[in-house]
Order: sequence, then C-alpha cells, then structure tokens
Amino acid sequence: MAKMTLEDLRNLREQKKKDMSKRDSAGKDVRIIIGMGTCGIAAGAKRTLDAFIEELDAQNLENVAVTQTGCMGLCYVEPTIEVMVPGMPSVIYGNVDEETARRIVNKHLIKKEMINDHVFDRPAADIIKDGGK
Amino acid sequence: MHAEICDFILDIVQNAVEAGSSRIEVFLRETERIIECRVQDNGRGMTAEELKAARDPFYTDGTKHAERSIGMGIPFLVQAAGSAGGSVDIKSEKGKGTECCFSFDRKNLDTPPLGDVPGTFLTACSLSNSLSFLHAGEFDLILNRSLTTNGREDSYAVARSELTEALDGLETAGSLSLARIYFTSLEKSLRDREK
Repeated sequence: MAKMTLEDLRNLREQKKKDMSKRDSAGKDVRIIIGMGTCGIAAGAKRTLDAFIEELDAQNLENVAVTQTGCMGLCYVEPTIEVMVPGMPSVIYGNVDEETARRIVNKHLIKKEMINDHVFDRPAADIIKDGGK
Repeated sequence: MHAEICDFILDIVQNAVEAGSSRIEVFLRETERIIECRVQDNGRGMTAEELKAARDPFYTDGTKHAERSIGMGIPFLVQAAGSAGGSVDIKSEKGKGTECCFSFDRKNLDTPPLGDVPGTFLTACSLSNSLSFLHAGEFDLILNRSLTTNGREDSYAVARSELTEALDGLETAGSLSLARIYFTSLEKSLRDREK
C-alpha cells in the first residue's frame, strides 16, 4: 500500500458515497458509545473501537454513529459500551473485547437480539447525580 | 495500568481536550534509542499546586476534571516512566496551556511497547464526538510523527481539521473506517522505509 494523500482519501470518500447511495440507509440513527476513560483505555477499549469500525464496515453499516465517552462508572467490566438502536432499549454492555464487539454488530444491530451475558446496567441511581437519565 | 505507550498519549490528549484547548499538537518521535512524545495545548493550564496534584494518584479535590472526580492518567505515566528509566516533564501556565513531554528508553526491558499508532491517532481525532467531552468545544489536533533509523528521519503529519474536511466529519463508521485506512497507510510507509 503506497502512502496515501489527502486527495486519495477524498477520492475514496467519493467512491464510498456513490456505493452507499445504492444501498438503503442501513444503520441510520443507530449509535454506539464507547467508554474511553483511563479505565477503558487500560482494558483495551481502543481495540474494541477498532473492531466495531471494522465489523460495521464489513457489514455495510457505514451510517452507524460511533462516538466516545469517558468512564461510565463500570470500571470493573471495561471495556464498556452503550448501544442505542431505535425501537430497542439502550443497553450498556461490559467486557466488550473484539469478539464481543463483532457479536454486538451481528446480533444486536442486525438481528435485534441482545447479548445477555454481557448486559450491564448503569450504576445505581442513588450514586449518580441525575439518576442515569 | 496502561499496557502501551500509545495509551498514555491518548490519555494526555484527552486531558488537553478537557482543558478546553482549541489547538493541540502532538509530536511522537522514535529513534533506535528512544521513544519521545510531546503534547502541547493552549487550554486552561494549571497552577504549580494543580500540577503537583495531577501527578499524585492519592489526591483529589473532586475538581481535577470537569465531569469526573479522579484522574489517573498522569500518575500512571509517571509510574511507568519511573520504572523503565524514562522521564516525564510537564510545564504548565494557568490560562496559557500545558506542555507534557515524556520519553522512554527503547533498550530498557521495562519499557512498554509503543502500541498501535494509527488506532491511537484515529481515536484521538474522533474524541470530540465524545458525549462527555462535548463541552470542550471545537479544537484542532495536529499529529506529527517521525521515525529515525540509520541517521535518516522520515515523518508525516496529519491535522484533524484536514481529515474532518476530507471525510465530511468523523462521526460515522464509514468515515472512521476510511480515516483508519489513511492512518494505517501513513504509518506503514514509515515502517516500510525503516526496513
């Protein structure tokens, strides 16, 4: 792979845009938030983020918004992520390694099924200011 | 405890974003002997007392950070550098900004691996998407990376603003994936020249 320039990147973007317009807007309004506090980084959240980007791209879900947040208060099960899919409850998943990230894309986002062994809730309402809302 | 040097870089860049910086510059320099990093920002800066507290893992006044009451990034860095014969030097001026420099000796057995540079740069560039960093406002991040082998230096630089403009934002999986390809290509060409 030769060194890319910004111009190459723009061209690649244009090509991708054309490809995307051929498909329906799959993944629109879906949001994945990755906990990237010191605890998350130490537990490998960067690799989790990478796995999400890779799998979403492989499944043609380019419209999914992937964002980061700080510590969600669940340091003991980092990396933690929150998934928001319209029509489904917001879910916080814990211990999300690369493989689990791929499962989340394929099961939660595509099949609309939760991955029960990784579901964690927000911290108890009495220890966070706004009750977690 | 962080496993890779790149984790420290990400942590410090996050601090700079949270400090309300509008311009952050990262210099990551690697030679056969050392790995050296400097993160400069024009954020709110720290007083001498605040700087002392930032290095202390056992101190918190509940206001170290806007959205959280503790911060372990700098203490982790100080500990890792201390145990591997590296150094950490932080200069800060209240209202002007902060400069954090650290270096690791590549020959020291306790020096952590450098880690995933493209992934770290990508994560750092997409930080402003972060919900808890939203109050930080818009900022530019300039990433300068260099590698010196056999007396020859090769380098690349990426500005977050250029990347955002070329990809029409860095919010969606599609644009993040392209940015990842871009960073990987730049890093790979650096490594290929090393060989």
